[in-house]
Amino acid sequence: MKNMDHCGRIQNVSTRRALLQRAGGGIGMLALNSLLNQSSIGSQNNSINPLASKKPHHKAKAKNVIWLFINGGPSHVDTWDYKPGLVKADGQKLDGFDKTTGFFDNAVGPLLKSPFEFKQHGQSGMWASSLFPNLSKHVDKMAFIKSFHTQSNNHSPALFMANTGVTRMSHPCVGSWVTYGLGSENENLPAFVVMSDPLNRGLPKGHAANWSSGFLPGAYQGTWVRSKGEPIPNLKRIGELSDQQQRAQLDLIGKLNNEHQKKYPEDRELTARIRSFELAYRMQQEAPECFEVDSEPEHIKNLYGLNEKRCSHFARQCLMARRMVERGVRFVQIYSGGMENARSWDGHGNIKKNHSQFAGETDQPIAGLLSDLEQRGLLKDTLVIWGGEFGRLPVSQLSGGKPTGRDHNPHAGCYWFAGGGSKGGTSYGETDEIGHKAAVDKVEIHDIHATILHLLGMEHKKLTYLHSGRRFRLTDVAGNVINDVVA
Amino acid sequence: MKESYLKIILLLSLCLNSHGNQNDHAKNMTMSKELFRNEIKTLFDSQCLKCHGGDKTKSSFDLSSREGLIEGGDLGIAVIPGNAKESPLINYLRHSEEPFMPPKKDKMQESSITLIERWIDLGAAYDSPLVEKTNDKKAPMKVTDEDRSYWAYSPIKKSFKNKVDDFIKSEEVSPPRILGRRLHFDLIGLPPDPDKLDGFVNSYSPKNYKTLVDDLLSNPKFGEKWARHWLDVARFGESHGFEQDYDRKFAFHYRDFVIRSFNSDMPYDEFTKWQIAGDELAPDDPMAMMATGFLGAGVYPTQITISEAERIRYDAMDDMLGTVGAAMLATTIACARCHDHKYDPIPTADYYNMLSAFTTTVRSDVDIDLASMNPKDNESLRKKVNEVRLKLKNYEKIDLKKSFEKWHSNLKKDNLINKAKSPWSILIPDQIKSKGGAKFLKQDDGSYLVTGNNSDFDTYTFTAKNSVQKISAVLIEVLKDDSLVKRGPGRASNGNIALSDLRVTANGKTLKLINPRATFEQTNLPISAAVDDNPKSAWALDPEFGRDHSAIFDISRDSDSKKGDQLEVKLHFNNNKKHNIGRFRISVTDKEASTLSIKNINSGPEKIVKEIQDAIVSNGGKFDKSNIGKILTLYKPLDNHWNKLTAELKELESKQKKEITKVMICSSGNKVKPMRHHTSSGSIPDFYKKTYFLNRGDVRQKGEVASLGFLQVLSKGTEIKSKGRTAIAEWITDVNNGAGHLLARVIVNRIWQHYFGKGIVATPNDFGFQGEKPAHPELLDWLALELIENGWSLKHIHRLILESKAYQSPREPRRLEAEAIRDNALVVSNLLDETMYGPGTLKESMNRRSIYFFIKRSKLVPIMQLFDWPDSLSSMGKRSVTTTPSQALSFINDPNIRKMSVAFASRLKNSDDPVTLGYRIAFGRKPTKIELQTGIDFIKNQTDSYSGNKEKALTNYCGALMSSNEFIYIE
Repeated sequence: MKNMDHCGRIQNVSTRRALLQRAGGGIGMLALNSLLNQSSIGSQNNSINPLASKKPHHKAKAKNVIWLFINGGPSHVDTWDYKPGLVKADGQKLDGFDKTTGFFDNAVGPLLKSPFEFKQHGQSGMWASSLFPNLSKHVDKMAFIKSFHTQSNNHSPALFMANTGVTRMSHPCVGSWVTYGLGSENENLPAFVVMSDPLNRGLPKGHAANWSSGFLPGAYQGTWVRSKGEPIPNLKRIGELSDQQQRAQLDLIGKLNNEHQKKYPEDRELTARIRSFELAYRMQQEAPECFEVDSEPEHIKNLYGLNEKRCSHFARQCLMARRMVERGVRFVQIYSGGMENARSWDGHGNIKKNHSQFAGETDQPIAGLLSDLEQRGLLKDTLVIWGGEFGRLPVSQLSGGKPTGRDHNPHAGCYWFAGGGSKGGTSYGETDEIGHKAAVDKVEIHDIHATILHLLGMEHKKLTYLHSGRRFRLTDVAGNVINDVVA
Repeated sequence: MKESYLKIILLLSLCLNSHGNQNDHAKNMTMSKELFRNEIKTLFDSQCLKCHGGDKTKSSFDLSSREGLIEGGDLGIAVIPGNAKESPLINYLRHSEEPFMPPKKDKMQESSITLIERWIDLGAAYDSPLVEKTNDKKAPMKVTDEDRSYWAYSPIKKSFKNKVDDFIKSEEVSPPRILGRRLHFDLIGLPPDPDKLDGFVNSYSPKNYKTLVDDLLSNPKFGEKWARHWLDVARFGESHGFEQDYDRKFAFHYRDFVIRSFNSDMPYDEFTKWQIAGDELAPDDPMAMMATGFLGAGVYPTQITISEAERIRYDAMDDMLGTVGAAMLATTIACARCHDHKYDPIPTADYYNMLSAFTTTVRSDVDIDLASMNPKDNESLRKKVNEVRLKLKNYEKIDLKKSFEKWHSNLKKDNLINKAKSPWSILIPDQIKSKGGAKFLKQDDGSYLVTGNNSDFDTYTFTAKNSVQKISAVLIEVLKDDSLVKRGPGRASNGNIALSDLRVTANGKTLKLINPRATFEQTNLPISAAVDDNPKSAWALDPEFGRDHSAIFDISRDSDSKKGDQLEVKLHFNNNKKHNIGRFRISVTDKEASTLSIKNINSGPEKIVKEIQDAIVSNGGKFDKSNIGKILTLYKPLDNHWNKLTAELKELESKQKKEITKVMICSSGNKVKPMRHHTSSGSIPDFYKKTYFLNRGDVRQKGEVASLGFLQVLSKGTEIKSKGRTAIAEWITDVNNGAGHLLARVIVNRIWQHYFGKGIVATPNDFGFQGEKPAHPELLDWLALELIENGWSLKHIHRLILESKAYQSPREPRRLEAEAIRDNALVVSNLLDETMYGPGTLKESMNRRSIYFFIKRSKLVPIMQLFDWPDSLSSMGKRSVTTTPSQALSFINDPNIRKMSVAFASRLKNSDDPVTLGYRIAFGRKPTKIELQTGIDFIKNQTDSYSGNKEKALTNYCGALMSSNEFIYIE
């Protein structure tokens, strides 16, 4: 039963097609209608309203997702994966180490213990490093996955892998699959939103391909939202029109369209387009309110750290994310950090300095987000994910001859889930003694994707899309739901 | 007898089933085994095994053994032993559930199905596996004649009908106004001019309809509309994608190629061949070179680590082959990368054999002279060039050999060495001086060997009497010598030279040296550096040491010199320490400079004669087929008539205006400079020398080296006559023994699809088993044959369709594609900039047609993306059509659309009846009474609300017209 659904076949073949399949040649004169675009190909025909809300495969535990994408490769051994073995081995050479594991094969140094102190927290006793004074208070909400590993040691393929399940640039990302599968809960807002670093430190490697809908229809593309200025394009009425004048214009469009449609009363596409103008008008009225973070009370702003200089940008994005899921946005992804090296969690030169900075930018905002979601009763429906494209090596990367940095590590990394039906206060999988490679209950990104879909009420093997003669899935030919992290 | 046997089994099994226990189980299994041996085995053998465990294992379902049967396949479990009722296999056999089995055949007899049911109920036992399996590796897929009989692969069936309407019944024809508008959008992607549309309507006749079709087919905008359809299929983009998404600045030539090809109705087989192997088939034709942009239009990573490099190279080749398969053959070849294709008869072996054709194929930006593509170019001059080129070619083919034979017989009689005349006259120096104290030793051949002190930066000064009338060129020969380090020709420790400056004066007046050319130039150290203004830059020869080199410099026509003038030649070596020349000879000539080709002077005529003699001697003293080619190549420069023709051609060519342009092409990395990428290490190769079979597509699991081959299912023992991509190009267009018939079916289907909204085959990129069947196979074949028999003229197919009643029938309104929506708005607002060709832009405010948007993969133009632009990552045969509120928002709020509304409104502002004019411009018709009144009321109310500003009111009105369904839905 391996490879089930790989290069998968069409599940619901229309009878008409089956008939033709067997009919072979010799059709002779055929009425024109039978050659025109009248028949649909099953569930894939989403053209009328691609974002209409759809039923999941089974009862969903989560409705929404907020993925805090820890961009650049967060070091598992310096964040959540405590390795006493690495403390012991500090300064030693790692025998048999393949120098091409990371990106720089000419700067491999000795093993390096974490410069951060680890402690156990909460009732569950989960370990956390001193990087997270605020988040560590929430470990009982978190389900850790400590045996993540991936296929590439390079940012962009690994980013594509984390987002789309393949290292190549061509497939739809998780957010697109989720909105394809479930549609939107609030048509006045985009269903899938992405926010990137607002401090001019660049976009994640591979740019917009990370939130691309690939071969899925463009309507499932992530909407890139700015946290300042006009959040999404064309949301603001043209200055020359008052609301009344625009309303009159929209009414005119409606009248023209209704006249036009008299000839084709059955045409659903035309009807849908008429409706889309009404939706657009409502979106224009209601969406800006969603992004008005400044209207939040002071104590909420303070909870996220909006007034703290070092984390205010990320706090704003987290707060926007909460406002969005509250209003039914299906999938929000926030990237912490910009591109590579010192601009993201890519601590090649100095892991202590780098991770202190980026943890400092995100610790309070994420902790605030978890508290806020919980106090509003939203956490049970909202799956919060923390994780990036890969972990980092236990051996140091030499910088100016000093063993202060860490290079990419495709063999190990750490994720955690919170809320949305995940099982708080647990940990799944282990790395080896020094955190070099995932060793016990290894988890690949397809398993994480399968689990995300599962929590959202979807079976990853059933969520397929026919493209170029093949039924594609987010999880390709792999993926197992990690039941241990499901409540 | 069989029937009674069956009855017994049935009875027995019924009894046993009602009270089953361990003991019964054993008995059941025995009976089941018996049944298997007597009945089931034959059934499976004849009906199922071939596809499920025999030649193939379709859908991963292998019923050759009990294990395989129980394991099931891609569809999940097929058989539950002991429970036929719940076993999906029975439903497939009864045709009560898809997939009906056996496929494409009649249902099994009910009695047989009942037997299988009983056998399953009894436990589905096997007495032995149906196939001897030597190991657990599956046997490779065999491609059979039955596979070749599948509709897509089988030969085209000739039909005796002769027009589209013989295949399709259509009752009605749409009114002329609708047809005129439909034809414009379908053919050129732009709306008709309202007055011209009225003219068409008022004088409508079938003849005028035909005239309009012809006019639109010959309108250059036709190419711009239809090229875009092909660009979707070619996954055309102008950036690398991945990490940095660098631009490919010269990729746009491929788009221009497609537009030009469609406009000139390039035969589709040639169009196909050139995209696959234009660089090999017609390297002198700029269009053929531009066409190869097809192969390189896909994504490619720009940052690669060593551990991924090889996989990424296989990915890149997969992208080329996969796109050829999808675009040209609607065949999902790439599905056979990791295993035999699951549904179509494509073994993995076919995949890798075809893949090997792309082994060395890389992207490269090369200089190409596009002057010949410019229609303004002097037609008669171009004709002359071609004439002389042909003359020369013919001369080389026939007369050159005769001339050589004559020359050779004379050579035997009389040693011609001394008579073979060189155009060059060797200068005999009065004096040679070295600034650095070197000494010059005269050699027999008129050259000088440099000895003595090798100073860091020397200068040689050479003085001689001019021996020709008016110097037209100077030749510097830099010669190897056994006495030099690494045999020279330089005195540097590696044998190199670095000639930084060359100066020639005649009686103290500088002779201007132009058009330098050399036998070899070291990277970044070209011969031109010896005559530029930079005293440090130089000409050097690394790594071509131990060989003779030479360089020619023409003398500008302005410079003057007479016979007997005092010539001074100065050679400066200021670039690199001790890189002084070791042996050299200087010559001058008064021959026409353009006739002096650098290739001919590598050695003097005496050497040529010697080399010819050597070639003859080494062939047993004779010249024949085996060495004549080489000999004639050597002999050419000694032949007067050849020299005359060559000179004539050079002169004509030099008169032609050159338009040297950088073009991104794809070609062999052995011939062109591969486009380099920013990578983590310089040691990553641009390509690997060989392509291997990979187990499960994994570069760490290499098998044997793959050798060129084609899809077996589309070959009839086709002989491989050519090499590399040329072979693929020839096979794919070969109607008799290759894939030509499928190629034709696929393209006529694409054309049909764009006219009717749906192809005859509804899955334009997949004609395989997973795709849809043709709704009308006869029509498809007829069109394909029409294409082939009419010189692969696509416009012929367009005409056949357009002139049919089927096309002219009433149809449901269809939404325009992204480009046409925006282009339509540009036309009605009178803003359209009609400039064709050339680089595109990312600026949304541009006013050119939308096909000229630059396609940057990380930054797709938002307005295009909003209306279902393809992602440009893989071939797309059919765009989706979505309707979203974001689209509506752009119509009402996008500043660029507002700009168009303003411009549209300014066309109406002076009209007494702006509503009627607006309707004619936007929809090609007059408004109805209701529409007229609605428009008048709106404009009046809005004007009032703007305190009398009618222009703003009109702008809002025009915005509404452009937002309406009628504007983007065309009947």
